[in-house]
Amino acid sequence: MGDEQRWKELMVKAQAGDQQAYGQLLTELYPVVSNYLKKRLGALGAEEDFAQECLMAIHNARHTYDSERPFSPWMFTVVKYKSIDLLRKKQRVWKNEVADEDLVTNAAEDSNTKGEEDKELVRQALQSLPENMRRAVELTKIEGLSTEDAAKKEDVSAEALRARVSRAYKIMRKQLEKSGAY
Amino acid sequence: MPTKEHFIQSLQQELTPVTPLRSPRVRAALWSLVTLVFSVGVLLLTGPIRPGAFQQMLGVQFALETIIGFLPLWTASYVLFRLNIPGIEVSRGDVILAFAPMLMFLVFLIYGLYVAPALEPSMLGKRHHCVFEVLYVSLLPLVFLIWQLSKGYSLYSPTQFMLMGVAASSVPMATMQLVCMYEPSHILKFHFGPAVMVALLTAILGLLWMKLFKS
Repeated sequence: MGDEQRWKELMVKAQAGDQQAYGQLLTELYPVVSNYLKKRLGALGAEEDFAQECLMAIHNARHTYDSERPFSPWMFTVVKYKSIDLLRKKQRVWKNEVADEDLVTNAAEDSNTKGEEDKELVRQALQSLPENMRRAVELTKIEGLSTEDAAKKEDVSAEALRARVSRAYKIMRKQLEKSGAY
Repeated sequence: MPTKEHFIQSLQQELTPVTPLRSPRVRAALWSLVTLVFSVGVLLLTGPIRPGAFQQMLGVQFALETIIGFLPLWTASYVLFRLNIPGIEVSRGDVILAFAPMLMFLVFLIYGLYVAPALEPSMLGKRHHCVFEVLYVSLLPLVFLIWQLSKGYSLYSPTQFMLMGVAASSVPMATMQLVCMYEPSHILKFHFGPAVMVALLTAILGLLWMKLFKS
């Protein structure tokens, strides 16, 4: 039996509430969706996050699948729509990135704002980041490397490094907001 | 980010049986029927039909103009419900066709204004608040349409929001052909104008919603 026919049958069972069939379907779809995203958005270095978001979208949209129609076009359209939505969000994050960057940097450097206490909060937020994100911020903001140079040093594409820095700012921003330093 | 296995397991555990949505044709037909009954019903309850309006429908130009005015109810809603199901192909031509009756209605009005009106212009049957009636009668069908579309999965765009406005406002606009005075410039300003305004406002509010909640 081909993928198309099997996925179709698994989805019909999933629509009826069959958890086992659904687990099998998701396990089979995960690499397909990941590869699709890698091909389309590989340069962003965020395909893992996107893959889970897209599978979540498939989960939420499963009632829109009509068993009279082929499965793959339905699935890839959901993935396409979701990735467009995610890119729209990301675009906004990139727009805010400069503002975030300035605020994080200022909080770390500006002793006239709230002084040493803020610096310490920023250091703590930085330390709590996952290793690859922390390195990305340290290289670009503390060591002052350009995105391209930092990307070379980390052996990733410039876009992937940008994505890491962007996600790092987002996490740090949340933490600083919680602690009242931002 | 949870691992792949944990993630799949959590979705599996969340799984509940779902009822697949009905076909776009059926959903569009149901929405169109409810909208037609509601909009015409409200307009008939709030004022009389213009005397002689049904006899006037025997005239080809007037009948065509009126029927074309009602068409976006189906053309726009059918495209919207098709766009609401992932994997159903909707071409640019389909979208243009969905808007086409609205443009044809405009062409008929301009023809009537500058060349030959479908009926002898007259104040007979004039409603004093027709402009507001087109606006407010469109609102409930529009909300109902948005609710129906929220059940599916659309990638919303300004064009889709405009289609929503066009679909919802076409019935009160076209019904005015029978329940208000006939005069092309009056129709352009007070029947067609508010319908276009509903479409534009829907697009603007839709974009705002996307900016605030979808990005």
